[in-house]
Amino acid sequence: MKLFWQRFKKNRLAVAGGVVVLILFIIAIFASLISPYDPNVIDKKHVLEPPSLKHPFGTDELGRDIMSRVIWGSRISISVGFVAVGIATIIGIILGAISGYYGGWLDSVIMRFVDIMLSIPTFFLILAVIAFLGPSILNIMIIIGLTSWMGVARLVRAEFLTLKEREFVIAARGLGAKDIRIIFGHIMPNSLSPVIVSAILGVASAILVESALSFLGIGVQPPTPSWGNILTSGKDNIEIAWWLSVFPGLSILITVLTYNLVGEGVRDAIDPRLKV
Amino acid sequence: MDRKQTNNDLLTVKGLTKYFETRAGFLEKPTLVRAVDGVDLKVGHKDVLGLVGESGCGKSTMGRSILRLIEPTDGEIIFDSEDVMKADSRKLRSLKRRMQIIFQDPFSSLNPRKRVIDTVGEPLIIHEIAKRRDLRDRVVSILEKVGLSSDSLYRYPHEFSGGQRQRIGIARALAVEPVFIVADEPLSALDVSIQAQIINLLQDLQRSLGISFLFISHDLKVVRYFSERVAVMYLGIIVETGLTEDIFTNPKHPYTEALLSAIPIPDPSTKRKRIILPGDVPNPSQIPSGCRFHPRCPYRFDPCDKFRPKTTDIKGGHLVECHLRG
Repeated sequence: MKLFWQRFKKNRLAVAGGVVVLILFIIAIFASLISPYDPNVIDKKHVLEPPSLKHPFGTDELGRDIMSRVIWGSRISISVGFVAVGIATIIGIILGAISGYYGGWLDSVIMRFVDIMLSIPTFFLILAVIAFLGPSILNIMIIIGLTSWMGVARLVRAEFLTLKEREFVIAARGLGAKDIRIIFGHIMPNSLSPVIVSAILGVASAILVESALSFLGIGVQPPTPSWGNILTSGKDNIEIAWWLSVFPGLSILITVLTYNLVGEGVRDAIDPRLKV
Repeated sequence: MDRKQTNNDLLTVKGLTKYFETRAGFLEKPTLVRAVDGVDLKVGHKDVLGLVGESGCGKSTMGRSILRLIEPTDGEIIFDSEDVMKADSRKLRSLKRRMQIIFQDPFSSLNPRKRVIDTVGEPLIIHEIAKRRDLRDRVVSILEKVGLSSDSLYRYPHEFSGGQRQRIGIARALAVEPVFIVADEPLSALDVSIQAQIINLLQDLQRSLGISFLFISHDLKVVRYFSERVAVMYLGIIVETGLTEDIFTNPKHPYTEALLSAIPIPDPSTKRKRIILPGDVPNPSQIPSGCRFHPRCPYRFDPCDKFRPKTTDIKGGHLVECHLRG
């Protein structure tokens, strides 16, 4: 662990990314305190105003304060990212562990299922499912989670395959340990580092998917602010109000970039040889 | 010392066989690797049987098969008059309180994320030997047996040297107070100076606790030092077995002879006949016909490539499988 911090600290980009991720977290948690206005209050007198001291990010076509909406939107984006990745990671770990540990036909079935899932264009699957279930934040979290666990499952399976042949695992079997103890006590703790990395990187891509869905109008529904749906109104007014697109766009860019930097930093710090 | 072939033996292995199927590709025909191909063994109480042979001859596979860490293809294993092959999972767990294994590589045989107290204490918890609260004392007393102090309790494997790690591995095996231990090349990953310490430790434990060992090694000097009896393995079968002294002073199988001639002698002026075997160990998926040693044997004659030799008892349990002696 100490070694991990030493190596992580050396990677300045990753540390900077970490700081930004932390700041974004604080902003999201304290959105109600930080945001200067109520994100949903309509002000007909100040429609489409460019950035000013009063409205640092300008206002939209209904006179809502963009800065407040971006701040509240970070809450949505980050929570969607984390919950979706949480779901994906749990499914991936369970299926990957079963697949790698027990092998045989179970492994074949699970891995073919992974192949099938990977062969379906995720985005269109999400579109189709949302068309049925209707867009809500919860549905989006679940659906993104259900369509992005395959990478984790493969990673965990590969780790299990190598670890279960290691002598300390054989020793545990030699001591008469049950499967549950071997899986959770011996193999799992040693297989988590690549999973952590893929989870951090997964948050970034989940945020992107959520933004894209919201942008298309089938994600988070207005008036709830999300970076994606702010962009939608930005698109309609792009010729007269650049600030409507630029600020949420930058937020997405910065968030995704910093998560990726942190993810890569963690990866290199955990194991310098591991380059996914 | 005469070997009474009675049912007094702690471990009796008959016709133990382990075949692996390997497939080169999805539609290829599987090839059969005959890693262990019908082995008979006996280990008595407080006995040490050395098992020697080149790498890849099936020594480790056999050691692990006896504990059913690898599921044997066929054969009979009787341990302490219980049938290991027929044991269900509960029975197997109770058997594992009495038979244990020590591994070759002390770096991969310890879970890097577990402290010493967790590694050595785990068997105590699995078999409900110790309650959580007196776990520490139990582990300390086990560590003392292998020459480690209680300072090491809360440290992780990477903080130890190879020799110390091997001691931890031995401590883990001792925790359940076994009567039989398979030592799978416990020295070959260690420095020579450390090897001496560990072999002495094993010998002390063997004498003080009366544990029987199946001592797998390719280091003949160590085997001679530690074992009472020796079995020589070649390509999945045992070609010669007998008392250590008989084997070392009077080897009967040409393979054993060749192995012994490869032991380095400290005095360079000593004259000796060095037998160099031509070729390599054959691939265990393509075992030669007849005597499986015949392609490399310096004495091969007519029947060698046609018939497998019968096992002959030279004297008092010194068994050899060779046409020269048949």
